[in-house]
Amino acid sequence: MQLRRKWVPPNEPQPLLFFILNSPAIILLIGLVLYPVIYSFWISLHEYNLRQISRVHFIGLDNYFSIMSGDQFWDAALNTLIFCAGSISLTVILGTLLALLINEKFPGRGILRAVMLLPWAIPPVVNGLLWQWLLEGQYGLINAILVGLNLINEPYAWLSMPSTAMPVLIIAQVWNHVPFVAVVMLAALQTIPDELYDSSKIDGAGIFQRFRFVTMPWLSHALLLVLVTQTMVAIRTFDIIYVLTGGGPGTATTVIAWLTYVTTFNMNDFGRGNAYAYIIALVTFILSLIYIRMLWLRGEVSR
Amino acid sequence: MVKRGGEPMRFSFLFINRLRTLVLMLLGFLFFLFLFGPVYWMFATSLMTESEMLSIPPHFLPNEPTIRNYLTILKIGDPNYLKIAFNRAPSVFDIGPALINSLLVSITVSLLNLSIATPAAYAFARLNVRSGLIMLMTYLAVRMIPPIMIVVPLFLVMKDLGLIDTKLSLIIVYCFFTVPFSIWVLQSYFKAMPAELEDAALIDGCSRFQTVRYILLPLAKPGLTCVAILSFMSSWSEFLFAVVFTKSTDSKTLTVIAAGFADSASIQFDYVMTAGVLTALPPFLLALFFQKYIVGGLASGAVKG
Repeated sequence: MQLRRKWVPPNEPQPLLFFILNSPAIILLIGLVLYPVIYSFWISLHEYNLRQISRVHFIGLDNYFSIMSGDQFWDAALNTLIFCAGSISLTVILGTLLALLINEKFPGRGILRAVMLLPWAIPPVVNGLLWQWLLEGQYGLINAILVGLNLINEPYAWLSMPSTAMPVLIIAQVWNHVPFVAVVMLAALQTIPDELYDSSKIDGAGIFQRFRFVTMPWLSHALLLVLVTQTMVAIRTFDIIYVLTGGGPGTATTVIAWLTYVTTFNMNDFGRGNAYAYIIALVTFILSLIYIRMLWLRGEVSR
Repeated sequence: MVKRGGEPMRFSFLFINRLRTLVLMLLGFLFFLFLFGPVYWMFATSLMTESEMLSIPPHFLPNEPTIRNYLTILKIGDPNYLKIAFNRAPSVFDIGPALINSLLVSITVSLLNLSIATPAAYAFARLNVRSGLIMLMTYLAVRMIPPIMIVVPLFLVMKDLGLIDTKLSLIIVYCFFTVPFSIWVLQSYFKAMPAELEDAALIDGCSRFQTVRYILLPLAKPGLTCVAILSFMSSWSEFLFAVVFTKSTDSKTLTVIAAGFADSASIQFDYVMTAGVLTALPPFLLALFFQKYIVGGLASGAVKG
C-alpha cells in the first residue's frame, strides 16, 4: 500500500498556497490600483493640459497651491459638505426607520419589502433622469401635485433655481440610497435574539427603553458601516449631478467630484483634475480613519 | 381565541395594539408612496404617447396605454413612425445595442468575480496565514480610492493598449470595483461555515481542491449568488468609466446612452423613461428573486464584519 506523498494537517498555515490563491486578485489590484494611483499623483505634479500637449512640464505642488488659493475650490468644498451632510443624514435616518418598520408585523409589510428594492435597482444616471422628469418645470408630476394641493400657485422650475437645486438633488440621492441602508440595517435587526427583548420586558423596560438599550447598541456596528459606505458614496457622487443639474445653476450644485470631472474631461486639464481627485481621496482617507477609530474604540474590530 | 374577560386592562391592551397597527400601516403607506411613486411614474410615462406625456394636468393613469415606445426602441413598427422617432431623438435606436453591451459586460464581470474572488476568499478563510488580516485590510482600503482618481491614468493606459471603445476595457476596470468587495463578503461567508466537514474530508484523503469542489462550494451557493448579483449590479449601473472609455455603439452601455438624453434640448422623456424601465428591470428582478441571498451575504459580509 502506498501512503499519500505528503499530507498537511488541516490547521497548518500554508503561506505559499495562500499567495497562489490570492495572486489573480493581487495582479488585478497592482495593475488597476497601485500603478494608476501613483501615476495619477505624478500627473498632478505637472502642468498637463491636453490642449497644449507640448507644454507638459513638472511644476511640483503648484496645482495644489493654485487650487487652494482660488474661490472655486472652497465654494465646491462648501457644496460638498452640504450635499454630504444632507444626503448621508437623511439616508441613514430614513433607511433605519424603514428597516425598523419592516421588522415589525403589520398588514402590507410584504409589499413594502418588495417595493423597497425598486429604488435600489435604478442606476444613478437613470435616477437623475427620473427626477428631472418628476421635477420638470412645466409638465412635471411634482409641480402638478403641488399645484393641485394648492401648495404653490404655478409650476416651479426646481432645478434652475439656485435655492432649490441642491435640496432637490439631495432628495433624489436619498431616494436612490435609502434601500441599501434599510437592507443592511434590517439584516442587523434580524440577528437580535428575541431573548434579549423578552428578558428586558420582564425587567420592566418600556418600548422606548427597549429601543434605547437593546436595539440601538446592537445596531451600532451596522450603523457605523452604513455611515462609512454612505460617506464614500456621497463624496464621490457625480453621475446623478451629470444628468440632473450639471453642477448648476451657476455653481449651486458644483461639488468637488463634479469639479474634478469638469476640469479633467471638459477643460482637459489633467494636472489640475488629478490634484482635485487626490484631495477627494485624502478627505475620504481621513474620514475613514476617523470611522475606523470609532469602531476600534467600541472594540468591534478586535478580530 | 380572545377571552372577553371584561377587565379594563384587556380592553386597553387590544386598543393599543390596534392603534399600533394603524400607525405602522400609516408609516408604511408614506414610505410606499415615497419609494414607489417615482417608479410608478417612470413606468406610466413609458406607456404614454408623446402628446399624452405633455398633457396638463398630467394623466396619473395613461388613457390609452401603449407599448409602442418599447417597440420603437427595438426598431419594430411602421417605418414612417420609426423615421419620425429617429428625427425626434436620434439616439433612440442606440438603446437596443447598448442593452446587449451592458448585459455582456455585466455578466462577464460577475463570472470573473466568482473565479477570482473564490480562491482568494478560501485562502483567507481556511489557510490560517498570519499576514492574511493585513491583506484583507488592504483589499478593504482599496474601496476607499475614489474612481475619479484613477480614471485618467487608466484612460491613458487603455489608449496605449488600443482598448479605448471596447467592452474589454470596461470589463477589466469593473473588476477593480467589485473584486475586493466580493473577496470581503465571500471570506466572511466561508468563515461562518463550519470547517469540520472539510477537515474530516482532508483527513480521509481528499485533496484541497476536492474539498472545495464537493463540500465548500455547494454549501456556499447563497454567498456565491450574492457576490455574483452585487457585482452584476454595480457594473450594470457604473457610469464614470463607461462615459470616459466608450465612443461608439460597439461599446456604449445603457447608462451612457441614457445620460446622452439629458444633454438634448427637446423633451424626450417618453423614450428616456422607457429606457429607464429597461435599465432598472434586470437589477430589480435579480434583487427581488435573490433578496434572501443578498441580505444573507451582506449580513455575513457587512454586519458581522
